[in-house]
Amino acid sequence: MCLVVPILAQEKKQQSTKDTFKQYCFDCHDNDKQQGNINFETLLTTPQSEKTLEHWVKTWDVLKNDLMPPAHKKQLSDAEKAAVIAWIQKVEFKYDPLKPDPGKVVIRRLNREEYNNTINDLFDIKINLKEEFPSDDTGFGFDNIGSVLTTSPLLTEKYINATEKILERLFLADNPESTKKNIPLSRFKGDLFPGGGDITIVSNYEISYLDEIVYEGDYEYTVFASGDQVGADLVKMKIGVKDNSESEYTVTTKRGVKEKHVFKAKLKPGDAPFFVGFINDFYQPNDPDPKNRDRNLIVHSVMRTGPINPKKGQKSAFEEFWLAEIKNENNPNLVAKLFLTKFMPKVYRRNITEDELRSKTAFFLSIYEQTKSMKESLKWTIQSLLLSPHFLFKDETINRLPPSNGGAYLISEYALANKLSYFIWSSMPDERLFELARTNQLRKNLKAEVLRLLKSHKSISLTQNFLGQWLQLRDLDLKSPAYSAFPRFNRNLIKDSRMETEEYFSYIVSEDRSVLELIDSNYTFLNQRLAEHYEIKGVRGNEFRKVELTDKRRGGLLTQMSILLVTSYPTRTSLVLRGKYILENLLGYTPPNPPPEMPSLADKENSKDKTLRERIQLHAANETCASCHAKFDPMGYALESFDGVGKWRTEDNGLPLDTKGKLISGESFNGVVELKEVLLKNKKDLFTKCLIKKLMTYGLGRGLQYYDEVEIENILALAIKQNYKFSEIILAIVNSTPFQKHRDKNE
Amino acid sequence: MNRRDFIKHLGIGVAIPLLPSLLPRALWANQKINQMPKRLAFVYSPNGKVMNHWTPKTFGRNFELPQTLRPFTSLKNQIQVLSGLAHLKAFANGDGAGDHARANATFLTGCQARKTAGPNIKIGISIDQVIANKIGSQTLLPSMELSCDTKRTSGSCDSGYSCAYQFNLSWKSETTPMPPESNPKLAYQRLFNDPFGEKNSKTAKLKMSLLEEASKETKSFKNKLSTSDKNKLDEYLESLYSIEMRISKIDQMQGSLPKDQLVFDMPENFQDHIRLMMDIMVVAFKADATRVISFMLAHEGSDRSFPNIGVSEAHHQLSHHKGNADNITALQKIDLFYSEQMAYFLEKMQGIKEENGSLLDNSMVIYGCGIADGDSHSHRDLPIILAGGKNCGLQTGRHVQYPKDTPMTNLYLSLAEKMGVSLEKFGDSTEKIKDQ
Repeated sequence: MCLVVPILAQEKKQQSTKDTFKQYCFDCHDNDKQQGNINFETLLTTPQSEKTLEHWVKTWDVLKNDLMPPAHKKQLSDAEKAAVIAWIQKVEFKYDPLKPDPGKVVIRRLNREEYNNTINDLFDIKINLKEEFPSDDTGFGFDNIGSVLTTSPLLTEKYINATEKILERLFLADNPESTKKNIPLSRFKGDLFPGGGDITIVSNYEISYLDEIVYEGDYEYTVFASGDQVGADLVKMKIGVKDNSESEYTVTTKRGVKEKHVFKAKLKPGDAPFFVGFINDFYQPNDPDPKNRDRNLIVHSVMRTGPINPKKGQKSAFEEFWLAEIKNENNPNLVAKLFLTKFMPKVYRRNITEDELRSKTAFFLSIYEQTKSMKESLKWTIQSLLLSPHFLFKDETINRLPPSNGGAYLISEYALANKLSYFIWSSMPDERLFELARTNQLRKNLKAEVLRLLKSHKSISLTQNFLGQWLQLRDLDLKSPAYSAFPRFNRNLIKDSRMETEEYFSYIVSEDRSVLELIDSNYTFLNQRLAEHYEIKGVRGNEFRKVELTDKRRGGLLTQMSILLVTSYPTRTSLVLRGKYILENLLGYTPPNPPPEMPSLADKENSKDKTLRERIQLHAANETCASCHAKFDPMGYALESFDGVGKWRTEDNGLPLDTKGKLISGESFNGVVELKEVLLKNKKDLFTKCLIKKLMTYGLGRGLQYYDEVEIENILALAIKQNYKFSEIILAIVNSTPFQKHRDKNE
Repeated sequence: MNRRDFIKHLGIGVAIPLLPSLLPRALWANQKINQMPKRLAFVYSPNGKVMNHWTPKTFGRNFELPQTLRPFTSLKNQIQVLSGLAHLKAFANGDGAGDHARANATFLTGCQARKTAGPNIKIGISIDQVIANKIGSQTLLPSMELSCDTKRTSGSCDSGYSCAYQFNLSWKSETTPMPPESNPKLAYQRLFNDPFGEKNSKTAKLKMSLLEEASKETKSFKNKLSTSDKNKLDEYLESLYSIEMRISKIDQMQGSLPKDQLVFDMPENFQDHIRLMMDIMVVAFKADATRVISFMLAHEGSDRSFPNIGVSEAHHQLSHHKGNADNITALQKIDLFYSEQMAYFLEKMQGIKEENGSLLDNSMVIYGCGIADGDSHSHRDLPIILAGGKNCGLQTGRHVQYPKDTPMTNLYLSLAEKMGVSLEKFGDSTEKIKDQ
């Protein structure tokens, strides 16, 4: 009996699955109508092959993502859908939870962020190379996906150009020439206008630029400035380099009449925090002439000239170090070995083989043969290391261990150190990670290392690269709210809004908070301008700081201007874009695309006497549209209280707003405050799972597949157990099979 | 340096003496004077056109230029308006939504893009690359790819298609896109600077050994990897090889190249950016540094707004105009804006005299879009202009009606032949277009 029952059950299940397909899919995908070349009548009876698996993966995918059946056809119930998906996983995918498939990551080229960070960490310099590189292609929402990153001749040329620039930094010229460098105002921190123009400093504060000095010597900073001359005194300005020197200047000209001011300083190699400050702000709000009320400093441009009279024969820290290592050795063979044994493993980010050492030594010697110069040989060898595929690509199969347990093997400690480091820092492992990998201690200390990496200032890369793409903050630069719709909008707010969300996320990362605080929190990060935009009082000055929130209308990602702006058109809000954004990016569900013939917001509904909501409702009344719109519009209704630039409002088109909504799962809410409550109460695990999937895609560098599902569920369970703490989620991902293992199939 | 100074510097401004080093004949040792090279350019503008302001009402030579084509008035005898061409592979054909990604991806390839957000991107080699593979060895750069999109949107692209489809026109192979350069300064430097800095025959051997070392290491690494990883390293190997070729060519060069490290900031204004890129294209063609260029004014689906011409709405959003008159008016303004830029480019080319006519007479320029009307996303009856090419055997100055659904790739076959590249088939082509 024990044997018979499961078999019967299985057969029964097979039968019911077939019935489900018959009921919902045969309309278009049977022997008669094989739309899209999918025919379930034959597929259900065909023995497995690569071809059938491809069809089943597609089927599984469209079912999971509700892409089929099409919206106007009868839909599967949730139970039916779950049953079919489980059946496909079990019968067709042969998914075995005991031997999970770790998947296959296509070898990943360093993307431009990673390349730049790695160079800076490798040589301990700060150099900006990435801006001249072509954008990396994105897939699955991120630009670090192995299968999508390609290498073009253009990029390879950039690599070569980059190595030249790096060498100029490592081996200094004996007699450096003085050069003029324009410091673009857009690089300054503080009050600035994206897209160029002047900087107006309206109160007593400084704008700063972190300059980097290569040669010790005298430098001149030339600042062209003018002033809104109000009151008895002329505008006063301070120019200087922090921890070095500063001088005061009087700006005598009126706004727009550029006056030249020169600041001179003796600078040493390294960071030079340069600043320009306004020091005698004056305000007389009651003056009848509005132009005679506020004294301001206007900065038009900044140039740096230098080094003037530099010391001759300067060496970089890198060169000093290697000169000391090599001492006065003049046997090229020994110099090559000395240099390469120590330096090559850092560049290849792993231990190197005897063969590799021998081969690169031979290259060094061949250069020496031609140049008879130790320095030239070193330079060309460094170039060669930086053009090595072992530097440019992240290879997870390095030092691989023998496979075990059904075609998967643990990646080596070196591979793990790299994977972890690029996940959290977008850069190469540091000394400690290398040391742990070398001594085979990394896996034993993984938790401590994950915490250490997250606490490090380098985890800012996770914010910039992961968050920037997950929440599409990188797109903020492309946004331009229309003057016609938002005449009082200050473009500086765009940068501020990005800063708010980045500071907020960085805080959650470094303080190891619960990720649920992304949905709602009683704090955020603001400067004066953004606080005023939010109508929050008591925040003075341009610096961002943590601000306690007492009003529930702000708090959480959904209430932040960055998100609200990214989901708006230049002239108006889009509740569809906003609802869809929440659904896709926070709840992990991608709604099907509208069929091609479907109108988006039709303009015959575009009358002036309706709110946007009323117009959308007219449009969504169409039955085909309604089933999908019900999934995202309601959340958009709640956010209608924020206008197209994220300001709170109570009416739209002069009519009162209706911010009531109801999710398809049944929860009702009125306004954003209640929506946040509903999400926190009923959707927190869906949100966490979505975040896990985004982090995994980013961390693994590949799209998630059917065989990852169970691992994702396991990570979610751990996250819940650990109160949704950020580090626990990262740790669970790092401990998961797809992160730790590699598929042993050659494909 | 601003754009105007730049133009002066390059000697393509009106009445500015040409810099001797930029004369094409000075560049190459064995250039025959009376065989001027033929050039081919593709310029893409996104989101379709308002077709009733684009398509002339009559055919043949005596057609009247509709509103959107008015900027071409002085060039009327240099251009052909081609109606009836189609990119049928840009339709869904079972793949669902994603017409913008497909329009962009299909435009130069004539192939159906494989629908994928990430792995296994696959489309087809593009026509510019097919031609560059054949004739590119004669010039410093086999081809040039340019764009005015300095930033890309993050996250996902159109309806489940990898962003690679939407931000690249040109494909080196069916899986490897050629990313365009959007920084004018870098595009310029690439044209006139050796990737290793100054030309120096003493270090040429060292440079070659550096590249050979990288190739050697890549080959031996490749052998240890699985198939999909191998493909990635092959891309690197091929690009190393292409640079080796380039360096060997630099050594054959005669005469001097401009050494200036031009400093000019990124133009803030879109029109300035477009025109600067066009200036560079003109210079590249004139100096015979390349003969094949593709230029994306903006990627398909672009949501750029045009405050300078009074259009504050986003282009893509507007292109779904629903027949609304205000939307169509705004859209047409954008179409006109792009026409004006194109006219600028063509006029510049016409102003460059060569041995047997103008640079424009020796060049064939396709300007167009992979979508006809933005509202319906149709890939039929595409808005296409073919400009120049009098010395390439094109019959200019007419409006041609091709039979419905004539593949765009049929035209590509004809253009390739005129470039000296004979192809049996390309993409979804059926036969050469006979009257071109």
